[in-house]
Amino acid sequence: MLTRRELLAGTLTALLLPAQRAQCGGDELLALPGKRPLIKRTFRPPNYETPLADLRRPITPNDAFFVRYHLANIPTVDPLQWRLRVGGASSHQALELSLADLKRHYERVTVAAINQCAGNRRGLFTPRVPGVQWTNGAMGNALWAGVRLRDVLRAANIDGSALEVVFDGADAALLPATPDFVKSLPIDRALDENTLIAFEMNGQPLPHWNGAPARLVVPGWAGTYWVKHLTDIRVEAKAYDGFWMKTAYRIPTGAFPGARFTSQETAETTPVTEILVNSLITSHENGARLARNRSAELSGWAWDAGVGIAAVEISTDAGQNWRPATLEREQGRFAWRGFRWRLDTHKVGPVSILARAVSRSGARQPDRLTPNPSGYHHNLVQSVSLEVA
Amino acid sequence: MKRLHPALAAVAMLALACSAPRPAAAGEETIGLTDAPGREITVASCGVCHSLDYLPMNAAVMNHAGWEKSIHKMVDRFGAPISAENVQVILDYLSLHYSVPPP
Repeated sequence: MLTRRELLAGTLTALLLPAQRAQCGGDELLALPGKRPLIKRTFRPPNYETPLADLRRPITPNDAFFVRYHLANIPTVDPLQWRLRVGGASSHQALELSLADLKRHYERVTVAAINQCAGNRRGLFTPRVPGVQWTNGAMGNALWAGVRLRDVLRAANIDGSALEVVFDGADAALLPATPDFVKSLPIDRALDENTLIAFEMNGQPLPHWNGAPARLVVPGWAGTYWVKHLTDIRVEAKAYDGFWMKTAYRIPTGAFPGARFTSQETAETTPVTEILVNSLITSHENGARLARNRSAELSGWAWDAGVGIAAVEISTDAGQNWRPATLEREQGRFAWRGFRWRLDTHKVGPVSILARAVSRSGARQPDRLTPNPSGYHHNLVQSVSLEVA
Repeated sequence: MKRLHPALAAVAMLALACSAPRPAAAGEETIGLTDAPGREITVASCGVCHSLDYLPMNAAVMNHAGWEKSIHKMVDRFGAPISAENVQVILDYLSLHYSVPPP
């Protein structure tokens, strides 16, 4: 599918383009080609998170959106040459679709949704756990446009034996023995009307680093399922047993709320599935100073896996009392929802703010984390310490 | 993608043959690991598949047992071609220079 020239071109681009460098606290801000400077966690495979300052807009700009890869062989895919193959044991009509086929033969749909890495905020876990040490920016909110996965699966004439749908992208490992990044979804989530094969992000073609020319979009589910540079879809009657399902991205069974992925579950562990109710204060960094008697407003975002946000509660007395913040209009149930809170700046001295989101089903951010070996699902109550001076 | 493209396989094999990490991403050549015994083998082995910033990034989390588990994951799960002798060299180096100090 990809020519040698294209593959090498992608590699050479990564090799030759000079990076813009800057420092931001202890973190290094670096710009990948086509991106603005982001917080560099690792060069290769590239893992870059969005700085807090770029998470203040309702829609996270494409060039500020976080980048997350597991394997370092990342080809630049020519959208004209690209083909999506659909098949598998539970499909009776194999398909090979070009980008033009997808756009021409299937209904176009758009969904606003959070894409959040399962390990977002891993670096904030106590005790700390190994892995990419993300803080708050392995997430963003975007408008994704494409076609429904279920419309494509129907064209592939799938039967009642379908248990899981398996997804592979063009990115691959450098060594033949390294497990390729392949993920599966339970058939019911694959057939959900909100699961898309997306080719646009915020009205533009998908950026290279976010999965061009087409990626999976699974609103409400952790970013690990949003397979980038999608090339192969297989509908199977048995559970997929690759490393990235059976070993990686797993949590203790029963430890967290969220959809169950029963065909992948064991007595001990189960895959990460839906993201948890959460919030992020974006208006102020920890330690920010406020001018006395000058009006100041705290703001940020709250989200969950798609039930919707019912309230964001604020405490200024270390959690003794909680009062509701003002909520902004919803952008869609899979998107984040804004909140605002007028800060009291009359008294000089420290101001401690706690913020916690509450979903429409009553789920609330916890004041204690559930430990798990890989540091997934960090959704602790948010806190910032400010100073009125 | 099922199989490594021949061009990339060649690059990966070259990397192994030269004991140097490549293809590199722009900027990663600036990562400097502590100059001490074991550094060269660590750079050559780990750098085949990933940039070396993974090592200092996890230093605040890791100890001897953590690195042992991590290196064995790279060999057993990810197929890193590292000899038992070099596994020990890398483990000693990372335990000494990229670990939480013992309490």
